[in-house]
Amino acid sequence: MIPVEVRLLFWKEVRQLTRNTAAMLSCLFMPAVLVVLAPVLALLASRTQPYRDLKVPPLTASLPGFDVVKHGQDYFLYVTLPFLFVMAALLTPVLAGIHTLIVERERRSLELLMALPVVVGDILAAKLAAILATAVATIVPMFLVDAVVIVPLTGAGTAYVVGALFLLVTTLVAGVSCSLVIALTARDLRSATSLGGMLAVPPLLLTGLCVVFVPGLGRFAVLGLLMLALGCGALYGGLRWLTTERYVS
Amino acid sequence: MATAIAFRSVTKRFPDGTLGLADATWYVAEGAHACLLGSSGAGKTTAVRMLQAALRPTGGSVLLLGVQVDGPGYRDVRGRLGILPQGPGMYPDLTAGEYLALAARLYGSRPDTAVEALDLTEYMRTRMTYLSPNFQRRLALAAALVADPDVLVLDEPTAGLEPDDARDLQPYLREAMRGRTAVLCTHNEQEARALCQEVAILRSGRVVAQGTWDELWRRSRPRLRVAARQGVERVLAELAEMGLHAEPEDGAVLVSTADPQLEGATLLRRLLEAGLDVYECAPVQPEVKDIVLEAFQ
Repeated sequence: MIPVEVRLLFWKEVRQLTRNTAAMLSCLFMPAVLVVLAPVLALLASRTQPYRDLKVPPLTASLPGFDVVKHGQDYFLYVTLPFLFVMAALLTPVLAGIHTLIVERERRSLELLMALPVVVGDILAAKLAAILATAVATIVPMFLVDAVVIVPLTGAGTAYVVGALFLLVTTLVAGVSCSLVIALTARDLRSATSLGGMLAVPPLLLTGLCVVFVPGLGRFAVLGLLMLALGCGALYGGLRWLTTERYVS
Repeated sequence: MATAIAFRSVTKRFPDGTLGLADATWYVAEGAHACLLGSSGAGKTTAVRMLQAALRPTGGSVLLLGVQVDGPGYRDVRGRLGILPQGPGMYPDLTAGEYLALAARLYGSRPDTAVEALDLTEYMRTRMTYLSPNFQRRLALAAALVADPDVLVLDEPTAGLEPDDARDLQPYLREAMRGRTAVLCTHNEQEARALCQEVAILRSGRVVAQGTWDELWRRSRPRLRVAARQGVERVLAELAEMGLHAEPEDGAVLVSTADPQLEGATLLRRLLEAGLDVYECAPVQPEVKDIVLEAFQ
């Protein structure tokens, strides 16, 4: 099913990513802060007296997305966490992508890869698969920490965990697609970093809209589907209009 | 003889409008050692990228061992092509052995013979970036040779190397080219002449001349080298009066003629009649740079 060339290149990419201290630090640090540290601290803070007595202003409470927000803890679960998950799941693949896609071209080692009996599509497919695998391997275990803490402390329930996991995984797909668009568009490391920041804006905007206008757990499903559509759109658009030639020329 | 590489009226225009290749037609027969000679930006690397199927032609077609690049069957023939890329960067996190193992697996081969041929055995555990530039180039050449390819493409193999390193690499290149079709892409005329029998000269993406060196020399304008005791300026003035175009070179003058043997005698007689003490008047073999310059003109 998967061509042998892509499989071999995939393991090369994984080996290199795990050996690259800078790449691993940025892939671990960002999700550790956004998926573990910030949620756990926010959750603990939401259980303190001032947050427990938090009252949502009437105008805000009338928005569909705030129908479930009665206390500080609900605000954390339905407003703060979606943003943290989207940011973590977007930025981790983008950072890994910059390390594996852009640095490869910048240091001209891409020439070595292209000299081998593979086509550019194999190289990109292997890199994107490695980025996705690395991001999943770092973020999902961290999310399990959240799940273990959130469920017993908040009584959010399994549906919440499943919904949040769906959002996390679909946003990872969007993040990987973003890293492809960055690789095909950015000419160097600096423009890649700027572009990465710019590409994070639409998903964050969508997150804001879903948080405000989609009620209850539906926000995770709607936002997850939007992320999937965004990811597929970026992937299709990148390959169709930008073309893989841009990565090598 | 079958054709190993064929560029048929190939044009490549990049999205920013730059012309990489312009209606370039070029053939390399199987077993030939051919050179793609041109300055930086002439289109050599674009041609290599097309053989790799990394760039698609805007017009025309590229064939490798009779198969259209990027068409059905390309993957099979791609395994019979070895490429030494131009000034490749090295992986800081892979050893030479790991990279060659990857290359060998992709080619479905073993790296041992290439490692021995390139004298790399003792560097297999060395990180690629720790190798000297000469060894880095040999490592890239070893990767190109792991499958004993039918066609070898060398893209500026000595560019960026110190002269000593470039000289050390030459025997390895010569050995690597032996017994197979080889294409050398270079801007270095001496290297081209030393390693290849055929040449195609690229300028701004166009093939401006091609053939064997002998054919190009035969086609190039013959010249007479004339020197007189009165000096270069006086000879140039006399030749200008005769309506002949000439250029000074190393204390003598080079005169373009259609037939040096026929016109040489007449020219010498006229210069002597003009009072010049001519002590040299002989046909000269054009140098590589003259051929290239003529092609460019």
